[in-house]
Amino acid sequence: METSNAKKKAYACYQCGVCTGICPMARLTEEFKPRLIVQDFQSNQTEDILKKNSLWLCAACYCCYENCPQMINVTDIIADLKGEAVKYGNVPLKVNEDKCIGCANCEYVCPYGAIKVDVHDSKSKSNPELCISCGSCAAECPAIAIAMQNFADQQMKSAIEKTISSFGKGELRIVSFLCNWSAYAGADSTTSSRSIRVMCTGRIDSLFIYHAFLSGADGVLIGACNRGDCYYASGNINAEKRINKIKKQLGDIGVEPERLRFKWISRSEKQKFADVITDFTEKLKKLGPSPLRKMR
Amino acid sequence: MIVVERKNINDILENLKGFKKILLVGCNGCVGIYQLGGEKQAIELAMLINMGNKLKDKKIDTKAITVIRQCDKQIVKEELGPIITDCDIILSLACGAGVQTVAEVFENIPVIPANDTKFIGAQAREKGTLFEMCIACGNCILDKTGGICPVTRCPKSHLNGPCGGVYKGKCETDKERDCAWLLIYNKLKLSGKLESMKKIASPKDFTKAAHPRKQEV
Ligand code: SF4
Ligand code: SF4
Ligand code: FES
Repeated sequence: METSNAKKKAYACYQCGVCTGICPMARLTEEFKPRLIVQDFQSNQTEDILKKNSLWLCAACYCCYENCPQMINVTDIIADLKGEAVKYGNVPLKVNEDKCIGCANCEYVCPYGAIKVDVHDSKSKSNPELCISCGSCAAECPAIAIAMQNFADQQMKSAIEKTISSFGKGELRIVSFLCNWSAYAGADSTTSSRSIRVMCTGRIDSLFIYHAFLSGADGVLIGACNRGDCYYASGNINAEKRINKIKKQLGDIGVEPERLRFKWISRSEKQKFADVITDFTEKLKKLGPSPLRKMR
Repeated sequence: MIVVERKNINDILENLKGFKKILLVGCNGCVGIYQLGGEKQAIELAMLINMGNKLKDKKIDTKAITVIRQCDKQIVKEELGPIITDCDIILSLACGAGVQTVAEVFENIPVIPANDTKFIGAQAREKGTLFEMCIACGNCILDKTGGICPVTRCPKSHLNGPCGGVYKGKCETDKERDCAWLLIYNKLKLSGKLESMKKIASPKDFTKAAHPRKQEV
């Protein structure tokens, strides 16, 4: 591998695990552990990591580098590995070219220029080197042509169903989608255990919301980074737009739009988070179970 | 491209009353590109209809499919033909041309629109807004007006402008709306063609817009 510099540095790693401890993505999933990645990198046993989709979770925030006592640039090591992984067909997302209609909504929404419609064949092409798998493009694609490899549609739907079935009889069923960078970190443990973490609210597809309500949710809460604070630039703004459209549709069909709530919550605003939850719960209690639930 | 707007879901449901098997047909043309009638929107609408069913305790089957262009008879026939037998009404998410194409191809199945077809427009992506650009008058004058259509973009369709209603570049009919004639003036000036503004345009021949029109190709 052409990573001599990174490699030399990696030898200095004494496996303290500060990187894994600080990594926002390691908090998100068991599968992603920077320390182990560096370990494997050190000993040249990268085959396994190169085949794992979770490699793409690294959002290049450089938290690990900043905190590493040996000043090892873990982020860049992972970036190198990402480049290598592409050769194994391991990519952050796949565009189904049979479905892609070349509309460029993905290109427009991507903050990193990581996905572009090819002028020659009018099909969208992704550039794994620039993509940090926020999932905004997949949420916007009208042709359902983009398949995220992490937080895949099916995974998200199962997570929604699992959350809903975790509630006992008579319990209010609140499905919350919380941004890993902000709201999730601000949540207390009871709420967080019942919530669905996303890398960014930009990933939240309108179909997920409808799915939650159809599966029997009484309320759906979206906790996003504050305006201008989204780690992926504009994911939260796009999410808000999407949510507002859904609210209108819900209201028209006869499901109270108040059951869907979008809130800006930063990671330090624990109190705000608690208030939002209390307020939302009270509101939902007043509304009673979702009208979609009373039937059948 | 053709711009549409979703009808109120209750009006759609009203039209679906009494039917048991609905086939929702999206279109990947204009409406797909503008995220108004593509595959995802067809599935969303099917989900909304299912919500409506649950609320009114009805049992209606929904199935969603999307074709590349609904205004193409051949495509519609080939893609929908094999599955069409299984439905008793078609809900089309296309523009008026698409809805009518489907209605014509499948003579004995009712077809209803999910959208109102509004205009031929273009998108300002930053704002996410679609603007009307052309009323298809059949007698294009963009050669004389710097590529900006006053027939469409001036609410009074002035052929010689601007009128006295322009204030600070905006139109008196809407202070958000740019005066089309001021845009024309600026464009002509920048492109060194201001001369053409001095010519008085004579009344336009609107018989060319008399419908229904046809075009041999
Ligand atoms: S948004 Fe989807 S359909 Fe449109 S260009 Fe991108 S991948 Fe293709
Ligand atoms: S996942 Fe995010 S970063 Fe990657 S191509 Fe899509 S929008 Fe861009
Ligand atoms: S990273 Fe938090 S909403 Fe985008």
